[in-house]
Amino acid sequence: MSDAGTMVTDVAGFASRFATLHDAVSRVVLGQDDAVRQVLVALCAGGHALLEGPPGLGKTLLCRALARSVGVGFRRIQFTPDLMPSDVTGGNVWDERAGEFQFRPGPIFTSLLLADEINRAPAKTQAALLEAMSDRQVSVDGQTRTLPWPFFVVATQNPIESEGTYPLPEAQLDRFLLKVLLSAPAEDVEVALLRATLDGFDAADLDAAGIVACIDADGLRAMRDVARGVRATDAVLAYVAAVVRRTREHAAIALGASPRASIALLRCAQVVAAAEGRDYIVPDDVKEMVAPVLRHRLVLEPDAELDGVDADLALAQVLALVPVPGADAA
Amino acid sequence: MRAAAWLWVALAACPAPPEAVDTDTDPVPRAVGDPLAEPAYRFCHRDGVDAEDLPRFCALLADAPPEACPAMRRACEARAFGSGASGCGGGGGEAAQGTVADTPEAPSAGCEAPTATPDGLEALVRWAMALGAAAVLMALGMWLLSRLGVRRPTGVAPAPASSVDAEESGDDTVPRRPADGLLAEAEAALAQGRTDDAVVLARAASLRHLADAGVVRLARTRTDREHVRSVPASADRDALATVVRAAEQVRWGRRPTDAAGAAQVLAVARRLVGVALLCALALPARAAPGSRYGPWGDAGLRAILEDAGYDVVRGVTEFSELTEDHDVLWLDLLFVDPGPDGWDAIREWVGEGGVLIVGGDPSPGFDGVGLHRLATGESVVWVRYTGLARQHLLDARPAWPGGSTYEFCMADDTSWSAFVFAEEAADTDVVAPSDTDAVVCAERALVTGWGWGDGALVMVADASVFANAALILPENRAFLAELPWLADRSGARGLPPRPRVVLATSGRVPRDASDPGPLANPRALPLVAQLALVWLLAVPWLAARRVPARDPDAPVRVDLLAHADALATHVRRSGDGAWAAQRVAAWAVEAYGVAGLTRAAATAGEADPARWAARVVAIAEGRDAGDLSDVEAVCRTLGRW
Repeated sequence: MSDAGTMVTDVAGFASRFATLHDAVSRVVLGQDDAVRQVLVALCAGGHALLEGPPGLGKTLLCRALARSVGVGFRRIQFTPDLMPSDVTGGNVWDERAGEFQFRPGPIFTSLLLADEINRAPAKTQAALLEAMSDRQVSVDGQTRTLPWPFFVVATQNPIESEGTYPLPEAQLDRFLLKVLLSAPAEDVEVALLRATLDGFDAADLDAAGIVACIDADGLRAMRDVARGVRATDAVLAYVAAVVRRTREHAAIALGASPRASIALLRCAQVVAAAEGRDYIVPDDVKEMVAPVLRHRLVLEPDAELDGVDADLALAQVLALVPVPGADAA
Repeated sequence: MRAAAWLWVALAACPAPPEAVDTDTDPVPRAVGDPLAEPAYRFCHRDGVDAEDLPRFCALLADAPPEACPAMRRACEARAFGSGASGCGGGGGEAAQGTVADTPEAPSAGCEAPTATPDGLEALVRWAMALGAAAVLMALGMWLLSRLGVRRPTGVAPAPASSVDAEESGDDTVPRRPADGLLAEAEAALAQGRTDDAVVLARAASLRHLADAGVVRLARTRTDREHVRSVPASADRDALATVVRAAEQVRWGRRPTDAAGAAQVLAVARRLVGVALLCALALPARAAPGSRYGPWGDAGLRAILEDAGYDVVRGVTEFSELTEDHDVLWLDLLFVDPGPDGWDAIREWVGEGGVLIVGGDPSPGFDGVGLHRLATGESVVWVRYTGLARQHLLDARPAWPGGSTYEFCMADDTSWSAFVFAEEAADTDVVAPSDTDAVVCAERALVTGWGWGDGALVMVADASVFANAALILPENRAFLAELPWLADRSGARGLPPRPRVVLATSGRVPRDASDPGPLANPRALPLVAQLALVWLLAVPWLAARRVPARDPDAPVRVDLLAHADALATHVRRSGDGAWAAQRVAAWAVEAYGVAGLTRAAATAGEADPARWAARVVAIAEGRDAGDLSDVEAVCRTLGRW
């Protein structure tokens, strides 16, 4: 049984709980340690995550395992071109017995929502979800309804197929705290996966896999509070600002990251530090999170894209240009 | 000028031994167009460098193009390694070449004993004179020290406040000062109770040391943790991680360190930085700076491979880092001992399709390869293939200097699929690998191959053909360029169009198995002289540290310390800590005896002096595997004594 009932009060407890969550999810999502870690960072930082990767890499499984580990409600919406906003938010339906309209909540009223293939729905439907993501509330027929706490969205999109998709606008992408990339696992991991399948592992049956709740909503709230208390020196803050500012000056980047990105980077670095049991940020925490936090917030110059530059490469160049506080002169 | 500076100036005036030359730097601009052109073996352009390593190769001059390697010819001629009078080949002139051609496979013993020549005696006299001059200057310096020295009440060095300030401002957090100086500042800070400064300075010293040793590349845009991650898995990395973690708490966590914690961090940093000066000099020639451009160097091999279209890398420092991205591993067992773990990794990598080209006896890693035995002087003149068509023969036949010293012995009942043989043995030899087994040598192989899993081994019995000096022969250069493709013909996975070759070779001079040790080795005489000099100089300096008379003149002191540190650093980088420990322990036992070691340990405050001495003896005799921490322990204890 888990120690879900134990409240996290300090970074040591945070680190322990974070590791427990990571282990629980990684037990069924093999070979995606980085992705699992980043999704957990988003969860603990209070943001939402956008997962990008080809089909079949375990995105849905990751979300289900996460929901099970956190012990909160989980719903999934498969986004399709004909999906309407009300299919997401819910709507008022006529109740003949009561003789009035009753609100029927949509699948968005849950704690952990998997928005599968979010770029397959039209912009209007996407916007309905994204409003909920930013404000943790939905408005139906002029009435605002608050979503449960926590409210954590994990959206997925497939980078391969572009036909029939509605790419998310930059402004909406900015709502995601992190963009997590999933790649095919290594060969030995795949063999282990096959071995587990032979041994009876069924992705649909997480109970059999022994995934139990490691934490509850209150525990998650406590973890977030602890993470928010992680300190940063002025030098680290300046480093965060310098990295983000540099994205606005890079030749290959047409539109750099916003101040919201700076805040996101700081929040994520706080979680990374806490996950290591530290109550202070080191520059390495910031560096680790630069790519997942910033990669989806940049607009590249068309020429650069034609030259094969992608966001990660541009960010690597940015990091190679910004001196780390406290590092040696080359 | 300060008194201490006199001493170092005196030492600087002494002729540097060959080991002191930093031959790691490219002596001439990198402009290799034709692999057969002379720049491919650029050591040739350095007159006099490592000349004592040349004798074995002088015989090759007879068959080399007349214009090849004039410096080598001059060296062989000057040293009389190849003169007809001494019975050696390769004298440099026409007559000498003829002499070599007449006796290519039978170099005389005189060629192998450079110190027996008048030059060896001359070097000895030169060093004796230098020693005497330095002693006079040292006496003068000590007199000046006693007359002019101003004693400080506490501390060793001035307070390094400015460096810590620089940390916070991010200007230059790993000052460009030598690591040992930074460490001294850290110790001074600790002594003054500035524990946080001590930790921060320990971090700077550790990083600076590893940067100077070429282990990490410091960059303004890299974090400390990135520097740690860039260090191959080793005790050094663990030590650096410990220091960095402690420094992070101070620098980013604003959490003060207590005296005990700071002392622990300093101890770790000290272990990282300071294999003591004494030990550095006690280490024998193998610890000398790697000479990729000397006669035994591998710069020529690298140049030839690159010019032949191979992608040559040196980035792999652990054999476990070999991946499928690496196609060929070029391993020279004269210089590199993979150890059990390394062999395991190599075996696995070859099994997955890698091609191992190994010079020397790979049987410790591959059972059943065959026996490796000392040859009787035959040179390889014929290489043939079993099971391959005629067109698969190598075009180039290698020529070993003086003939291959080693060869593989193949028994009749070997089941392995060798595809390159030397000629069949004229007679059969019985070689007993152990008391319980005996093998009849049916064939002798100098270059041979073996399919292993999806990969292949190409084994060269005598790795001296890899050396720069062997490359004066065009056929050797062609042979090396072609060697990896030999494996390609074995039916293994096959090599891609531009194979990636990992060099696990070195430019250091191999020692003979019969070499009695560094201090008994005539070649080590300059080293011993330096040891004596530095030891004499270090005594007043160490005394000054206990009761400081003057600040050590760091800029002057640094050069020699850096040189000494370089010797030890190479041992550290090679990872052969056990070897270093054994050598140092053997030296200590020989110099002090068991009784002396016990006394030294007692004086140094060891809890159990007798046990300590017994352990040193055990390490010296190979009964106990030591490591670099033992090197440090021995040196520190003896140093305190």
